[in-house]
Amino acid sequence: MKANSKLIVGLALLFILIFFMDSAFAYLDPGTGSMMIQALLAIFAAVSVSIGIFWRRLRSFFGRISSQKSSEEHDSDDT
Amino acid sequence: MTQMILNSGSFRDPSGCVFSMDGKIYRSIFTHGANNFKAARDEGIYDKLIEAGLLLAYNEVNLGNMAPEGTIYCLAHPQLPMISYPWEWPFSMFKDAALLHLDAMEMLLQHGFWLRDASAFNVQYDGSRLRLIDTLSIGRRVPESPWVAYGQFCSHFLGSLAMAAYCDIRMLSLWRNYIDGYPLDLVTKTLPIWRRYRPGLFMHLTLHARFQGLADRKKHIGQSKSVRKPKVSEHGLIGLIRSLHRTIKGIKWNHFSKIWKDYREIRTYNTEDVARKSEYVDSVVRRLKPNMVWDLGSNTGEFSLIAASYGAFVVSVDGDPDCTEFQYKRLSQKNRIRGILPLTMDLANPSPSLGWDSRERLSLRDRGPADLVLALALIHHLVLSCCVPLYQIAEWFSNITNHVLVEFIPPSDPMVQKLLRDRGEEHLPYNLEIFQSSFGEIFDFFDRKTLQNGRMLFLCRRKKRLT
Repeated sequence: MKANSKLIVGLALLFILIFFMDSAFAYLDPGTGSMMIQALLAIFAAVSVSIGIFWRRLRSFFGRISSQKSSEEHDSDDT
Repeated sequence: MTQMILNSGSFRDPSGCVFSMDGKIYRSIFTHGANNFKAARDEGIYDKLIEAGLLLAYNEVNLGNMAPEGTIYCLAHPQLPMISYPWEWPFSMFKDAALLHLDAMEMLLQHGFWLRDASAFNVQYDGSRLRLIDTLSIGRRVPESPWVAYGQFCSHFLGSLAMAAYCDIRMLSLWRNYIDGYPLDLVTKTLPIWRRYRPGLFMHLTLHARFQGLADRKKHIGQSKSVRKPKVSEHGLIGLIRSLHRTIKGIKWNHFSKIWKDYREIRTYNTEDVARKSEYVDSVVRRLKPNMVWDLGSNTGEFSLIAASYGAFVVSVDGDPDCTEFQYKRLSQKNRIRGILPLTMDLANPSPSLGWDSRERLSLRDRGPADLVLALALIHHLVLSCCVPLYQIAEWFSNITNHVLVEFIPPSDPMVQKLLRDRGEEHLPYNLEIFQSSFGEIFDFFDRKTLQNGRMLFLCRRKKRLT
C-alpha cells in the first residue's frame, strides 16, 4: 500500500511538472504542496465537469429533437 | 475628539484594513487592493453577492483626511452585534461557514473572480445569517492559476470538520491552538484510518498532506528553485469546488441525531421550573430593554429565546457542544428566530485573547460588555465543579455586564446535592449568606424572586467597576 501510494504521488509529481507556469502574486502563501495536489485533482475534476456539460448538451439536443417531432405531429394533427 | 481605532485583527492583507471611528466600522482600501475592488464593484460582483446574502453590505464613503494614510477607497460596513470565532462555533455553524465560502466561490468563478483567501475568521453572524465580511477577499481570478486559498480552506474547514465529526467534537475547541487552521498532517494522523481513505477526505486531506510534506522536504533540501505554479483550468477549478462541496456536505456528526431524541435528558430542569423562571426572565427583559444579552450556561436556550423575542441580540453560551448544536439547528430550522448566536465555551475558561501580540482575536471579556447577563443555574457549577469562589464570580460578572440576573440554587437542592455527593466537606463555601455578601460588595440587588422549589433569582445592578 505504502509503495503504491509513493508511486502514485511520484507519477503525479512528474505529470504536474509538465504543466508548470509562472507564479502569481498573493498575500496568502498558497503552499507548493497544495498547488500540486490541486492541479492533479483539477485534471479529474475538469474531466468530470466537461462530461457533465457534454451530457447536458446531449440531453437538451435530443430533448429539442423530440419536442420538435412532437410539435410537428401536433401540427399535422391540426391540419 | 474623533479617534480612529485600527482593528487589531486587520493587518495581514496589504490590500486594506478595518478601523472604527465614532462607533462605526470602516474599511480602507489601499493601492494594492484598489484594482480588484474597482473591477468587482464595476462589474456588479459585490451587488450580486450581497443580494444573494453571501456578503456583508457596504457603502462607499469619503472620509477625507480622517481615513488612514494611503486610502484609495473607503467603505462603511454595518456594525456586527458580536464577533465570534471558529473555536466557539457549533458543528453545523462551522459546516455552514465552509459551504458559504464554496457557494461564493462558485458564483465568483462564473464571472472570472474568486476568493483570495478562505479564512474561517471571514465569516460572521450578523443577526440574521452567516455572511462573508471581508470585501477584499474577492479578487479577479489569476488565469489558469490554482486556487491560492485551497490549502487554507482545507486547514480551516475541511480538516476541522472531519476531526470534529470522526474523532471527537471537542476537537473544534482545540482550534484555538492552531489559529491558522489545523495542519493537515496532524489531521491525517488523528483521523481514524478508515476515514483517511474516504474518497473526498483522501483527496483533499490525506493526499494533500502527503504533497505538502513532499514539498516541504524539497524546500528543506534546497530543491525548491525549480518549483513553479501548475496550471488549473476553469473547469478544473469548478470541479474542485464541487468536490469540496460534496465532501463537506458528506461530513456528518452522527452523534447529534441522538441529541434530538434525548432532548429531555439534556434539559436538566423540569418543565414547571422552566415556566416559572421564564415568566420572571420575561418581566426582567421587558423592564430593562437590553440590546445585548449574554445567556451564560444557556443549556437548550429557552431563556435566550425569550430575550430575543423582545428584540435583544443574544449570545447564548454553553460548555456542552451538544447544547449549542441543538440551539443552532433549532435556529436554522425556524427562520423566524433571529438574533441568537449560540457559542460553545467552557465558562471556567472563557475564550482568551489570541494571535499576534495576543490582540488579534479578542477574549470574551473584550467583546463585552453586555447590557444584561443571564446566569441561570450556573454559579453552583462554577463554585462546586470548577472551584471558583463566589466573590470571583461576582467580579467577573461586573467586568462583563451592568446587569445580571443570577439564580441562586440552595445547598439543599437535589442538583447541588448531586454535585456535592462525592465531595463531602471538601469544597468551597457555598450558601446564601456568602452569595449575598460576595455579590453585595459589587452589585445592588434591586429585585428578587423566590421560586416554589426554593431557588432564588436576584436581579443585580453593578455599583462600581473594578479595574
